[in-house]
Amino acid sequence: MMKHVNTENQADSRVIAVDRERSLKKLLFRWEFTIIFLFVVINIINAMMSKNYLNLTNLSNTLKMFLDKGIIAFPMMMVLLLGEIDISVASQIALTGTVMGWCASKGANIFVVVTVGIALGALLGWFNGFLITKFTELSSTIITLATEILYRGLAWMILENNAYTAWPEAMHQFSWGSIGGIPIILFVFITEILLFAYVVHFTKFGRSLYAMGRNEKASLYSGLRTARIKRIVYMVTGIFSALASVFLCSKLGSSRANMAMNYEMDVIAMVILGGVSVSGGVGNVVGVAFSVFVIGLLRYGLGLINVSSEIIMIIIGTLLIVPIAIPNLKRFRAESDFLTMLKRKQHRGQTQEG
Amino acid sequence: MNGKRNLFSRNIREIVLALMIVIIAVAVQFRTGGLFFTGSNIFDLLREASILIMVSMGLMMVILTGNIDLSIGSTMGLCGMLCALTLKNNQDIPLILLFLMAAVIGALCGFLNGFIVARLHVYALIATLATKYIFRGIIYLFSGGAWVAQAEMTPEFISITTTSFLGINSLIWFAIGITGMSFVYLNYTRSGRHLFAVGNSQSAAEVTGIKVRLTQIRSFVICGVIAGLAGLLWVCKYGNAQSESCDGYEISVIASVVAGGCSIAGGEGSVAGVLLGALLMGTLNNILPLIRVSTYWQQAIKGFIILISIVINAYMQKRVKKQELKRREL
Repeated sequence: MMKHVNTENQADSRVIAVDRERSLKKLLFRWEFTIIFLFVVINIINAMMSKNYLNLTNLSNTLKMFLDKGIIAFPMMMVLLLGEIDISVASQIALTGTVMGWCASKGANIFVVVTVGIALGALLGWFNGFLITKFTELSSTIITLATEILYRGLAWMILENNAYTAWPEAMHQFSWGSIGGIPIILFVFITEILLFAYVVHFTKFGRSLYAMGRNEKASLYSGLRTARIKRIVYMVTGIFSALASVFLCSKLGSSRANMAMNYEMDVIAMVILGGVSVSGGVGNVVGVAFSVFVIGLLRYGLGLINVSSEIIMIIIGTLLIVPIAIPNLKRFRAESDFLTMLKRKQHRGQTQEG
Repeated sequence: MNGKRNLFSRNIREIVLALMIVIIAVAVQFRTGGLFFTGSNIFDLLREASILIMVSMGLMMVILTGNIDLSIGSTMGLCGMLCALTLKNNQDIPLILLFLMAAVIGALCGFLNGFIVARLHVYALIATLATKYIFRGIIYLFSGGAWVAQAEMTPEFISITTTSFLGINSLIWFAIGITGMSFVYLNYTRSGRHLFAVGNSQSAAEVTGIKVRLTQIRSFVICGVIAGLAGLLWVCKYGNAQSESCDGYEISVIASVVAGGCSIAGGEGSVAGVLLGALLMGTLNNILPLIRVSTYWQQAIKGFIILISIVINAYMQKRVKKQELKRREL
């Protein structure tokens, strides 16, 4: 039998075998596995720090602390997949929270409050998307920076230094309620993971995000409605910011103009640590889902060992830079190779002598 | 005639800005019955705006190369806090040494930003967003959350910002000095012109032999040095150093730079424009209390101005490009 095997085929199979080996290696060294590894390590360390860590009530309380940020992480990932950025999410939370508080203080019931909030979030997100697609020569950086300042400023204008604390009774349930011991926010979060995993990885819309992140012009010429997709993505970000605002208001029991300060850093850090490239077109939902937990539990664990919030701030800041900087280290080394510099200088000296 | 028109169209941004300031000022003058154009109010406005003008010049250098620095407020706070702590512990330290210290710490912060952006190839927005929080965290580490109050500083130090020379407050002199130096640097030195080249097209600059990465790092270092000095003057002016002082100051600075006509994509901007932009912000800060608008409105107004000015800039760039295309066809 062996005789009949074509040599070409043999070569092919060998190539495939090598490829497979490589892809297995690649799979194991993929960023998502690093994140999952980090997730496990952090959980083990946290469990060693405190005996009560694995307690169910404790875990659900811990999750309530950071999952409202995680809600925005997935739409933010969509934005980053496009190669854009949205730093106005924290201000969107503040403004929608303020307006929802205003509605509640006027005696609106829970459905009206939440609907108004989500509609406003959609409007704010749409406005971002509108500006970005209308003025294509402006980067999303500066536009969302401007709207960040504007939205937060509007919240200050409405509320000044006061707070709205009159919420409908049911509002309390969003963050603190639970079904069968599992907090509602976890249900919402898991539904969101499944929804985004489906949309990003298994629909035409999701795949077109990757295409646009890789090469926007090519996607436009191959028939994608790039402007429309961008507007939709920003609108989705606004809607989910409003949803996060509902949970945050419910958690805090009040809405102030300075709520959700610095959220954008945590959210962007979660997405970047999840292996999403800032230049667009790279990343997946699994990585982001785990990195939400990594950052949230890391914060919690550092709190367990009495690390002050300022040092946590430094650590999260570093986490924002390191995942991007590590893949670039090779490039850095190539650029600043001391030996090649010396050789070049020697070469120059020789040519001058000659 | 043609030359005149060119001069007008080339400086249209600056002219529009100046007109805006004048219109606002005149309107407020009538509205308040002559409270605006008084000698003391004008000097007050300039004194309040001088730190903003200085830092705007620094940020302009970074924005010219196509990057952005969000950590500028934290850099100011860090330099101010470290200098204040040094002064608190060594009351007899010469003032010049304090200024030197502020400049060196600022330069280090700027270098860190520049290194991360230019050598590690992290996007400037994300890198400086991270260092903003890192520097703020370092401030808390040194201060422990406590203030350095005016009573703990020497009278000579406090008097820096209250003395005047030739009838003009020393803070205004600082602003004039930094503005003048930036003007000379950006218009008459080679490394200053390199900032424009790098901002316009990195690859073109690299081909012509400009050290792109070094230029970017240099712009961040200059920005850091100016922010450091401004942070020290801030401590002088307000008589205290808090852990959260200058938090969010970058918003005002970016607003004035962008309103001054600097393109955020890099390579475009002028010292005169940024100066006028900072003065516009200073004027707004000055008039809001005069026309009895709540200070809580300030941020929304700033955001609105940033948005309007970047949109106007984008329109103007489009028009200029169209005109150039037309000229070429002719």
